[in-house]
Amino acid sequence: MKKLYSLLKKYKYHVIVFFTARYDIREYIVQIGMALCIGAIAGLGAMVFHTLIEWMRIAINPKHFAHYLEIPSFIMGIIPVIGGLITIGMTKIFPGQAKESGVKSIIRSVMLQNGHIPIVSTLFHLIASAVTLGTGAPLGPEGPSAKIGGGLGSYISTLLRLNSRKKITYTVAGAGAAISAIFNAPIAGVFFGIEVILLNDLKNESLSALVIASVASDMISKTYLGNNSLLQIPVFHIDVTEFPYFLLLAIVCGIISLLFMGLSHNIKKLYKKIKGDDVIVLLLPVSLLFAFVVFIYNDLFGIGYALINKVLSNHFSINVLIMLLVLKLLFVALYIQTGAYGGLFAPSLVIGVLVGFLFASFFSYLGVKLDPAGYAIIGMGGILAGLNSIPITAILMVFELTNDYRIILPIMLASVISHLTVTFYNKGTIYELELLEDGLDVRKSRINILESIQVLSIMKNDFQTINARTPLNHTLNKLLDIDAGLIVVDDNNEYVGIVSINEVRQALISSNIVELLICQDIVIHVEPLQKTDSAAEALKKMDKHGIDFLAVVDDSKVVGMVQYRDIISIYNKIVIQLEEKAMAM
Amino acid sequence: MGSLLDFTDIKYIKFLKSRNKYKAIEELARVFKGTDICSDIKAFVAALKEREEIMTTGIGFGIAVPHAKLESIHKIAFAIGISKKGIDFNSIDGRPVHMVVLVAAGERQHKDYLKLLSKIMSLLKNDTIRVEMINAKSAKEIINILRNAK
Repeated sequence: MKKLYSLLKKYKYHVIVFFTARYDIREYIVQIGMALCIGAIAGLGAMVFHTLIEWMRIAINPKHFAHYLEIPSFIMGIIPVIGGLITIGMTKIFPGQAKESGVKSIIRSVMLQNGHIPIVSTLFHLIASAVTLGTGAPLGPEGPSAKIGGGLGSYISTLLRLNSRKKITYTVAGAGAAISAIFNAPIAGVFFGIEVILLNDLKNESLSALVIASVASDMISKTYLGNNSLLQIPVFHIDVTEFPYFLLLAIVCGIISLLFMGLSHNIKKLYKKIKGDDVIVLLLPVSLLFAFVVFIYNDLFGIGYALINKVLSNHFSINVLIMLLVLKLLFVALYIQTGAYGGLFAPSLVIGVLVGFLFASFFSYLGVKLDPAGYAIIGMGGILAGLNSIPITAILMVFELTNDYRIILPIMLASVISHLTVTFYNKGTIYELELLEDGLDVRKSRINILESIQVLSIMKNDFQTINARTPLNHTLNKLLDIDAGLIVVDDNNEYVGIVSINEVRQALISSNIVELLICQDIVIHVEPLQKTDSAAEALKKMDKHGIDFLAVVDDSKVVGMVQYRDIISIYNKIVIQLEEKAMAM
Repeated sequence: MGSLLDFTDIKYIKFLKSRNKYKAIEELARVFKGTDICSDIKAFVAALKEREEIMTTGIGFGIAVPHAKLESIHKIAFAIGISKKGIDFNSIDGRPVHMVVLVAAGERQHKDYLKLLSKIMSLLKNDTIRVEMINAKSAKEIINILRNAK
C-alpha cells in the first residue's frame, strides 16, 4: 500500500495530465470500454441466434424429427411450409418491423436515421430469422446477425443517451461484431463493417470501435463454439502454375453471380406482377415447392454448412452436384425475393463450393488434373465477393474459415476479379443497387445530397385524393380539414393535378364563385413525380409552380405525396450528420 | 385587379345565333380568333366543351359562365354572348340561357382567374344589371353597362 502511495506520488503529474489532457483521453477509454461491451453483447446476441437456428435445425430437420416421432420422413417434409406460414404470419402482424430487413436496412439507418434501430425491430428479426432459417430456408444467418448486432449496439446507445455520432459508431460496431461471432471470423467481421455498412469509408471514426467490438465478440464466439471452424477443410493441393485456371474460375464466379442476380431480378418482377407489394404470401407456395425438393435433396435443407463439408469430402456424383447447384440458385432467389429473413453470405459459400468443385471436375474430365476441393474453396471466395460486392471480406472470411495460408493468393484473385466483373456489368454493388431501388443513391457524391435522395424514400402514403367533379364547396371543406393539399384524380382514379389551400384563397373569400366551380376548375396541372425522381427534381418542380407538395405517380395512379418540408427536414438531417462526422475527423 | 372592362372588348361581344350550348360556346369562343388572347382556338373550344360535359356552367337566371384555363391562352379575358331566343344549357334552374359569359385564362393565371370569375359573378348577381345586359340591343350598350357598373 505504501509502495502504491509512493508510486502515485511519483507519477502524480502524469496522472493529472492523463485525466485533463486537451484531447480528453477519458473519452477514448470510454469508447474502448463501450466497444468491448457492445462487441460482447452483439456476440452474445449472435450466439443466441446461432443456438436458436442450430436447435431448430437439429430438432426439426425432417429426417431427425421423423426419427424421434417414428413417423415417415416425408410427413416431416412439411417443416419448411410451417416455417413459411409462421414467417408470413409474423410479417403480417408486424409489417413495420418486417419492412426493415437485411443489411440494407442497417446502411439506411446509419446514413439517414443516426444509426437508430428500434429494439422491437431487432427482436422481431431475431425471432423471424431464427424461424425462417431454423425451418430450413436455404438462406444465411449474416444479414439477420448484422441486424441483431447493429440493433443491440443502437439500443444500448439509446439507453445510455449517447449522441447520434456515437450511436452510429456503436450500431456499425455491433453489426460487424455479430458477423465476426456468427462466422467465428473477426477480421472478416471488421471488413464486413467497412465494405458493406460504411460503404468503404476507411476514414470513418467508427473503425476503431468496429475492430475492438469484433475482437470482443469473437472471444465470446470462441468461448461458446470453441476454436473449430464451421467448415471441415480436407487436404487439398493447388499449385501457383495453375494461375490461368484461377483466373478462369474467377470470371466464371463473376458470371454465375450475374446470372443469379438476373434470375433474382426476374423473379422479383414476376412476384410483383402476381402479388403487387404483398409478395411475402408467395413464401407459402415457395416453401411448399421447397419441401418437395428437400424430400429428394435433403442436403438443401438449412443454411448449408453441412452441404459444403459434404461437397469438400467428395460425397456427391457430378450429376447430383449440378442438380444441387441449379436448385440452390433457384431456391435462394425464390426465397430471398419473397422477403424471407436471411442473408446471402452462406448461400454464396454453398454456390461457390459447388461452382468451384464442378469447375475443377470439368477440367479433370478434359485431362487437366485440378484438385476439386481446392477449387471449391476458391469458388467460395469468388461467389461470395461477386454476389455480395465484398472482395476484401470474402478473402478474409474464406481464409478465416479454412485457416490455410496457401489458399489466400488464389482467393484474392478470384474475389477481386469476380467482384470487378459484377460491378463492371451492374455499375454498382448489390447493396448500392438495392438502396437505389428504395430511393437512396449512395453512389454519387455526398455533397450532392438532394440528388442522392429519391422521392420514394421520403414520400408519404397518407395522401388524400379528390375527384375532379367534386363541387367546389366540398373541395374547400376537405381542404380545410387536411394538413397539405389534395391530389385530384379523374373517374378512373388517374392523376389530374393538385389543389392547395394557397391557390384557393380567392375562392374561400368570395362566395360568388362557389356555386359555379368544381374541383377541376381550381386544379393546378403540375407534372407529377415518379418514384425514381430525386428530391432535387421535386424541389425544382415545387419552386417552378410555387407549391409546397407534389403527387408521386406510378403508371398514372397516385402512389404517394412529397412535401417541401419533408425534403428540407431530411436535407437538414443529412447535413448535420455530415458536419458531425467532419468535426469528428 | 382593375375594372372588368380591362378584360374584355367590344370585339368580344356577340349576339349568338346558335341554340345548342356546344355550338354557342364555339361560336362565342371564335371571337378570340386572330387576337393575342388565344393562339389555339380549337384546343380552347375543346377544353370548354370538356368542362361543360363534367358539369354545366348554366348557373340559373338565364346565365352561363363557361370557362377554361389553357396553356395557349396568353392573356386573361372574357367574351359575352347574347341569345334573344335562349339556349338550352341544362342550367341548374332548368331555364334557357340568354347570356353566356365565356372566360379564358392561361394555365398559370390561377389567382387572377378566380378573381375575375368572382367579379363577373358579383356583377351578374345584380338583377338590374343582368336584365339590362340581356336586353341590350348592341355591343356598345353592353360596354356602357359594364363601364357604369364599375
